[in-house]
Amino acid sequence: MKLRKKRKLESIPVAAMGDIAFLLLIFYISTTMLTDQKPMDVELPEITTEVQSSPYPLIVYMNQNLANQNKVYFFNQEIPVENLSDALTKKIYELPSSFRVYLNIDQSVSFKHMYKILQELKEAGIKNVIISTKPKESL
Amino acid sequence: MAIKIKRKSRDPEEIPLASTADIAFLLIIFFLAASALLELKGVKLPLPKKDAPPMKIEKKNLLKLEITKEEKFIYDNKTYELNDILTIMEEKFKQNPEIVFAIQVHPDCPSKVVPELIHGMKQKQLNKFSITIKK
Repeated sequence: MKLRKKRKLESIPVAAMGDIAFLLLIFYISTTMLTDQKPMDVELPEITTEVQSSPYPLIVYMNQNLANQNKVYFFNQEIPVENLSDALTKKIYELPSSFRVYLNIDQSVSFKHMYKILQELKEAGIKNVIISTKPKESL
Repeated sequence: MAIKIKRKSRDPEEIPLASTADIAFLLIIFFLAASALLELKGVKLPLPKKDAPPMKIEKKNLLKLEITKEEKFIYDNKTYELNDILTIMEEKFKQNPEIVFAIQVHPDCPSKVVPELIHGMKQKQLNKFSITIKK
């Protein structure tokens, strides 16, 4: 007579899944960068460039309307271009980590406005600025 | 006479934890979906130091060009388009690797020309340049 061995049903141990899931959750929460900068819609120049990884982006916006008023949009505020250097210097002191400055300027805004912003950035001791672009739309 | 009543041994109460994994995964999915992925793209422009004195460049190592408000490039009194001027710049750089491009931009020229030019120059490894406004 053939004896049949009783085999236990195999199962995948899932007891640790909750721990893994919570670990992942904590990782995502701690690495998510929280920013209090509200973005502004700007028509960026269309150039296909590489992604610039940034520890903390400080974004300076200027559209045609703001350019006419000689103002920029920085940290949810419209400020005169002349005050950008001071505002940046103040913000840099408050930042916990390294940062990078981005200039989101409308492609139709004239160079004289861009030049003024660049002068202000230089005044604030910024070494590099990224002029933001968007990829060319393929037809 | 006091009678000791033995309590029935009860199983320790447990909080059901079977669904914690599901809750955690749902939270992960929520965070992933809700976090706005900020993809920043652009052209890097190095700025001079705050109090840096003007650089002295030998005339033979300097190539001056202008950008007009019509987005044209003027070099040697001739007008060029972006791709043509980039080709000329590349040739000049091959002839003299010490060459520095001094670019003067018309104040009313649309700002998009600047990142376009810088991007084109970087692709051709032309890294020595200065950009200023035409007075």
